[in-house]
Amino acid sequence: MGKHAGFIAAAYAVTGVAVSALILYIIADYRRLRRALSKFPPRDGDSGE
Amino acid sequence: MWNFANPANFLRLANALIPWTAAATIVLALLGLYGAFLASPADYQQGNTVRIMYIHVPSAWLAMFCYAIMTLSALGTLVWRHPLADAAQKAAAPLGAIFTLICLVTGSLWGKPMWGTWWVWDARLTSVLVMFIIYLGLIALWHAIEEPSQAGKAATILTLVGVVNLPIIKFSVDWWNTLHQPASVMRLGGPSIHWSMLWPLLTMAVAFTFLFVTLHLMATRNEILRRRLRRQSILAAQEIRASAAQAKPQEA
Repeated sequence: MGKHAGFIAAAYAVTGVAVSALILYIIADYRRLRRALSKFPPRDGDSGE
Repeated sequence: MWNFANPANFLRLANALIPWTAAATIVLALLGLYGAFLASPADYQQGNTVRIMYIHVPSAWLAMFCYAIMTLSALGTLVWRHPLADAAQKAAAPLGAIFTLICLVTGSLWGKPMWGTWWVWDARLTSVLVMFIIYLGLIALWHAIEEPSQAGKAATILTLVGVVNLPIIKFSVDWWNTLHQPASVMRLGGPSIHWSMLWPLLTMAVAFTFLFVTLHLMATRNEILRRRLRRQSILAAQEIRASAAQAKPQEA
């Protein structure tokens, strides 16, 4: 990668970390919401799951 | 089309689509990374630093594409008052902020070895930074107002005001003298990049687009569930209050 390998590696690392953090946050948020909703009885119109 | 805009139908559609769009993202990203690191040559001027382009340019496109999606959703909220448009708009803002941040950071990491500086206050870089600040402002606005419909209205106005920045970003390199290079893919006369570099770039752009579609479906699904949870909590609180009010006269 030559003398600028550090810049290239840093760019890909930042992208990987940011995208991974975003994916993990969205999945964790989904699980938290599903857990919280499971405590309530289903109501009319609450379908699609 | 309107049938899928129903939240329950959207959840069914999203659950069916997410595995396929996620699989397409992984396959295309692997192909794009193969092209970026193994199949494409180093640039005759920039050397291997050009490989930053394969993530910088798609993230820049996605940052703008995401704002365009938010603008369409804002119109959906304003014109048709559709709750799904409001949820889609709110779900897109953090995605747009992350793609803009990736664009700014990778651009800076590309700029230092090529321009000799991490940052310059030129038109392209500054207008992208303004878009990042607008994204952060929208996220803050949604968190500051508790009632989702009121927050949605305020965010819709800010989104529509901020859309004026999109053509400024796109044409800044043509309108002003900037350190940033002019458009080399989406330009009149066709792309100026050699095919050996263009195909990995386009593949990564499609991979990033599928990533955005996957994350936007997931985040919009979360937003619908968040609103259901809010409604359920309010109804449960009302039922408890009503039963407590009924119990009081009996006790008396």
